Amino acid sequence: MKRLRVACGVLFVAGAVIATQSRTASQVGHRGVRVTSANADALRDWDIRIDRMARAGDLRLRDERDDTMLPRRHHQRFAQLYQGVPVWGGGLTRQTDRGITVSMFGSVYEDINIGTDPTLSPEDARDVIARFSSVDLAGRLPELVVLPLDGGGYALAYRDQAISADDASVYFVDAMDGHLRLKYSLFQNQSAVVQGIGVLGDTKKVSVLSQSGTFLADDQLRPPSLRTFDMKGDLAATLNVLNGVTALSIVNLAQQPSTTWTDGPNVDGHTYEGYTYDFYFKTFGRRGLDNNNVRIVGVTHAVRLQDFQSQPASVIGTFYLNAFYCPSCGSDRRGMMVYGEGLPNNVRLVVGSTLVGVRNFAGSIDVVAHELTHGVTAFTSNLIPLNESGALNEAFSDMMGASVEFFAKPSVANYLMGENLVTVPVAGLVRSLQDPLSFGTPDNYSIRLTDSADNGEVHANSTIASHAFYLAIEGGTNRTSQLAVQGVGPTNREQIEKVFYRAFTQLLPASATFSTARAATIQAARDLYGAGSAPERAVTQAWTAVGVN
Amino acid sequence: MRALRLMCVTALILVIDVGVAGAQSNLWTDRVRVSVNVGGQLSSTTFTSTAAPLIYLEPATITTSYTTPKGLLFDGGFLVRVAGNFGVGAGLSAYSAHRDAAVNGSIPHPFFFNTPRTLSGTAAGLRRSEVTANIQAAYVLVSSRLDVVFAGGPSIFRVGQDLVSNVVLAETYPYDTVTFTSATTERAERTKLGFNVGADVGYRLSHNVGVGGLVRYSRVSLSLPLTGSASDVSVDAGGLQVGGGVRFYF
Repeated sequence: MKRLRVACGVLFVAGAVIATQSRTASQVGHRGVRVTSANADALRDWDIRIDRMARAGDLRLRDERDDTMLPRRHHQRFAQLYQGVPVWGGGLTRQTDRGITVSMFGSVYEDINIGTDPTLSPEDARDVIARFSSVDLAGRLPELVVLPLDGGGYALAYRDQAISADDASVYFVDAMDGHLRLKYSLFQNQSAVVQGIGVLGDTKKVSVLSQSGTFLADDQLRPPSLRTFDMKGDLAATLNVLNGVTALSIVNLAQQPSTTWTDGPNVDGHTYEGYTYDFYFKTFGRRGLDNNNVRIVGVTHAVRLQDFQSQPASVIGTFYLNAFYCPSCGSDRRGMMVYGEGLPNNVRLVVGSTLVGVRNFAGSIDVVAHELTHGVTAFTSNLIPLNESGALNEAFSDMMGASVEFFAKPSVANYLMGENLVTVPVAGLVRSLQDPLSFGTPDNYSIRLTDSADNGEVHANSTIASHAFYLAIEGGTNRTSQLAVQGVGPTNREQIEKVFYRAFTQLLPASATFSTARAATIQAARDLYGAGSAPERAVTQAWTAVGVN
Repeated sequence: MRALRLMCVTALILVIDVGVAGAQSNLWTDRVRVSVNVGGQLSSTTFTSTAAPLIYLEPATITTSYTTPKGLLFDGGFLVRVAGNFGVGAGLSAYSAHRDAAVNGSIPHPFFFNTPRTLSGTAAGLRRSEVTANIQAAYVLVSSRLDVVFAGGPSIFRVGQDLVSNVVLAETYPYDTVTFTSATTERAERTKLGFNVGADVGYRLSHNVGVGGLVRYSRVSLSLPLTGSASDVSVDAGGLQVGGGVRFYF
């Protein structure tokens, strides 16, 4: 195959060079001839050639207009045809000055030798493109073209573009057998890392998608699709998205046309989702929530702070003072994270005699990891969110929440859950894995709450198990039982994390009790480190100390 | 210093030789003496560059250790007699060589600040070139067939060097390690005044033509600019040069 690239003009030096031309990212490597010449004879030759090709129907004048910047100049644009079928990428421009050719640029494919009668009908081709793109193209038929191929040669193909919520691409399907010949995106996409300022004013790196000058919260560096959507306070739209009535689209992605992101919730939510994925991968080798890189979606700004005063209590409880992972939300029913908006700066919660401000929930790494861990649980043990199994479900999320904090922010990490959410850590809003009693939750099975509130006090009673997790790592004495535990020590934190991860994701049944959890974690410690090992001893002592036998 | 010592010893031998053989006549009578040589630059110097391109929002540190190799030298010049056995002259020498360089780097992590990853590799075939214009004042000792020129003076060095300005990396999730793929280089060139001192011996085969040898030491220290680097790259150029070729006498 030969493609002539023509570039004749008065500014070019005489001579001819052979050059390799690159086109789209997916079609590179056409070898052609570029002619550069100041020689009037060469321009005249090409004039004759163009006229001959135009008479033969191989070039069609597509556009013609006078120069708006230089007087007497005139421009023509030709498209190449082969037996009446457009040749994709083939064509020329010609600039003239009072009828004398000044320059020519373009590409002409000269050695095309294929049939132009397609086997596929345009309707069939449309259906094929619709299938590839998942876009309904009803009412529009694709264009038949001659497609120069990457490795040489040509193909008769149908071309059309399909734009969905997530993609905008041009498809070329073979007009003979319907297979996809070429697809390229209309968007100029590139991964990028921008600087983000979080809810607490800290600076972090944010992995995003760079698209035509805008940066979108679509992580291109981690294996799964990991995206954060900014609903801009549109609660009705958020509810539709959660219920799967409407799908999230690229316009909903959190975005900023700058390399410095200043929307703290978008920065933190997106970044902490990534950190959580990293923790699971690097600590346990787990690939995301389902261990198969299921897409992760975070939703921020479901409501607006300025609407707080007019919202019913149910909305405040769900979308202002809450974060949740909904395992079956979204149009694909594959789960979503929703971050509560927190409270306006001039609004405080009254907790006892303390006035407490509440920040956006995306700003708390342990909360983000806690909620995503509910996703892990949903894909594994699927612990029933009632009573003891519910408390274990919450406890596992707290354990992993604290672990992600130690993984990503070791210098400031602690065993408080949600301390960054609030201006003052108080009971009811913050839990402590280290000292549950100090925040009003039980540290021992003997003092567990047995009422039916909160699905059987699943959040409060969770600290019995999560305190055992703490004791197995750090050691110490349970305040209620006064039993001491010899932990494995913080440098061996990962041992206990692996023990609990193994037990909670692989060994526990959905209806597990505290006693089952004790047995499963001891089994996991034996599996991983052997009977009589330090982790097994620490885990056993810890459960005993919190009153679970 | 070793190069200088070698050159001085060589010159001393030449002086003794000429002193013995040149007892017949010490007067230099040619108007112009032209020399054309092919030889080698025997000195090997080392230097380092440190580039700091911005990678994932942080400056990387890419340190490259270069060795300027010994290489082929082309040299030519002329000498014009001014008075007695004194003359002035000028010459041009050109040296070019390629050598690999060791690259070590500290590359920022895409997800975390202050969590660099180490990198090492080799930048292949970095080119070093030196073109030197030597201006010389000379004293010539002559005998019937042998002449020895002692010359020295300023040298204008044009030094070019391929410098490593960045690296092409291979990295995959979770990005805790990084692999060197290739180096991105840029050509840095700068001109600076240095000096040369040396001796050239010629042996006449006929009235106008002879053969000869050259020993010269030239030196300059200069700084080459490097994109993205906080400071220029300090480089020594020149060194001990030896060569041999033809001589023309007019």
